[in-house]
Amino acid sequence: MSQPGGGMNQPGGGMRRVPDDELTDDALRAEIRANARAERGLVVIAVVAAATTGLVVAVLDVLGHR
Amino acid sequence: MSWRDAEVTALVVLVALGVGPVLAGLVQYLLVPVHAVRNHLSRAEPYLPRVVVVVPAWNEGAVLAASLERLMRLSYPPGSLRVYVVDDASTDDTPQVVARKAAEHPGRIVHLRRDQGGQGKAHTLNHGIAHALADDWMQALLIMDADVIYRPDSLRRMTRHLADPQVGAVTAFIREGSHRPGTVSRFIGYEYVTAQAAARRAQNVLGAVACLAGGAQLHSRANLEAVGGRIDTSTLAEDTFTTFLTQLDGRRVVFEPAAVVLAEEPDSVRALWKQRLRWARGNVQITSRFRDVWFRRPFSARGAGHRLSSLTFGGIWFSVYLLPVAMTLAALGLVGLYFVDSVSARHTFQALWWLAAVAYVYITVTTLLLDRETARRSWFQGLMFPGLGALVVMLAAWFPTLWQEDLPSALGLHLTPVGLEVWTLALYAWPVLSMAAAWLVRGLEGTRALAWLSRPLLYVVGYGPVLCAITLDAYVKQARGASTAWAKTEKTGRVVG
Repeated sequence: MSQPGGGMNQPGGGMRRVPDDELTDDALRAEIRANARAERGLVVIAVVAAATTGLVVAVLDVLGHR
Repeated sequence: MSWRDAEVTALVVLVALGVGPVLAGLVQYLLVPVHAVRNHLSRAEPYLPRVVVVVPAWNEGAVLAASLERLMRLSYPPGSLRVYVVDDASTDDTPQVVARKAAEHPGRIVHLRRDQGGQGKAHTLNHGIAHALADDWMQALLIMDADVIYRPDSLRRMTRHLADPQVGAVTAFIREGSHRPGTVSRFIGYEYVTAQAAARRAQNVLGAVACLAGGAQLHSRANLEAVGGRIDTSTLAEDTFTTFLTQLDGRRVVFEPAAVVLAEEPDSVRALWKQRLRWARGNVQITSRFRDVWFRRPFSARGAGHRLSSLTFGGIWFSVYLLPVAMTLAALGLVGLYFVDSVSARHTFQALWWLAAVAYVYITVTTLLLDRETARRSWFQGLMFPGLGALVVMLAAWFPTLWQEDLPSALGLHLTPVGLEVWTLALYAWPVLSMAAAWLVRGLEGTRALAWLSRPLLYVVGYGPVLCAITLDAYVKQARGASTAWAKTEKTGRVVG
């Protein structure tokens, strides 16, 4: 998305043209699909968090002889 | 049942009330993975409506140029984006900054000046909204803060949800983005992942969103007109008010986690206190104003058209709203139990903090994995979020002899019976002691000689208890009818993105 040579205060920045291929329906649909795929990673995060919690509890239990 | 048994039961119930917020926090985090399959992306479509961005600005000269330039560089059709900067009678160089940017981007940045300012953000927004609604050009309206930096893809990731006519408003993930964040900013960065990236995903799943972030709320024109074409000016939480109105009117509010915007947040406890006191008092007002909404039948969207009345959403809302009460009752219950039945007190204490420890590990790991950028900056603040004191209490619950016997004897010391009693009571009363110590953190920060102590003490007390203390302060100020004048959070332009 960066504009070559386009500094923050460069006059005429408003004339920047959004690349056509970024905003086509196909590109936007692909982005939606990619974001939906990324959301599925939440399941992995939950599994890792649950496993870590179980591990910590087990270690504390062993150390504490609960 | 004997009188003593009744006493013990009543005190255990008090302690059990302290479990409520812990369970509510866990429930929210258990809902996060459900967002993998239950989110609004399946109904999103490519949609790039004509958007008016309203930027309220009062003395924002230090931050405005960068945020306007970023808006101009959004990956969005230039012909479909207009920015109205509503200058609330600024006395700094805000008018000059806006004029310069308007000249650089003719027709795309518009300077609207209020001659009499100081009435607050909602009034300023309404000035811009009235202009946006005055003609038919605008199809959607984005409300943002002057210091917020939008990532290039953020707006288009928000607008795609408005393709679904059932959606009235969309909000983004506000990430703390200071260039060199200090301790408080880092704590806030971590908090934003818990309160937004995690909690708002859970609220998406529940179908009821608590708040459109003030710095990133996108409304469809239809929604804006349906809620009255203006922002409520009678509360300190105008963004939450609009969020509730939208959903009560039968339209959905969606949180889009992939739309990321960066904001500069306070880096002192005193500035944090001022900002959060306003938010907390706003929530007290909202809770009262929408008292007919909570826990009402039908609990499902089918009957009421919204899910704000659901048991789960209400439980989560009140677990935050009543957190200081729950913490105080739990501490009082444990201390009382200690004097009535010390064995029951010990078992109850262990059960309460065992659960807190499990929740702490699960929530911390999830939060750090949810947003890696924030985790890199704020992992230590994440670990210390409940405070070193609370971590000591958790260990005391797990290893009852650690602090009383093992550690002192390893150091060649011996705890006297009085010392043991004081130590035990301190552990039991920690939720209240930590809130009281939060006031000390704020007080120390304002002194010349002892300001250096406030940071280490903040780590001991924890950021969570500081937020609790602020909520308690909000109750008191609301009850006393203290002034509700708008207090702006100072921004200096530290955000980089």
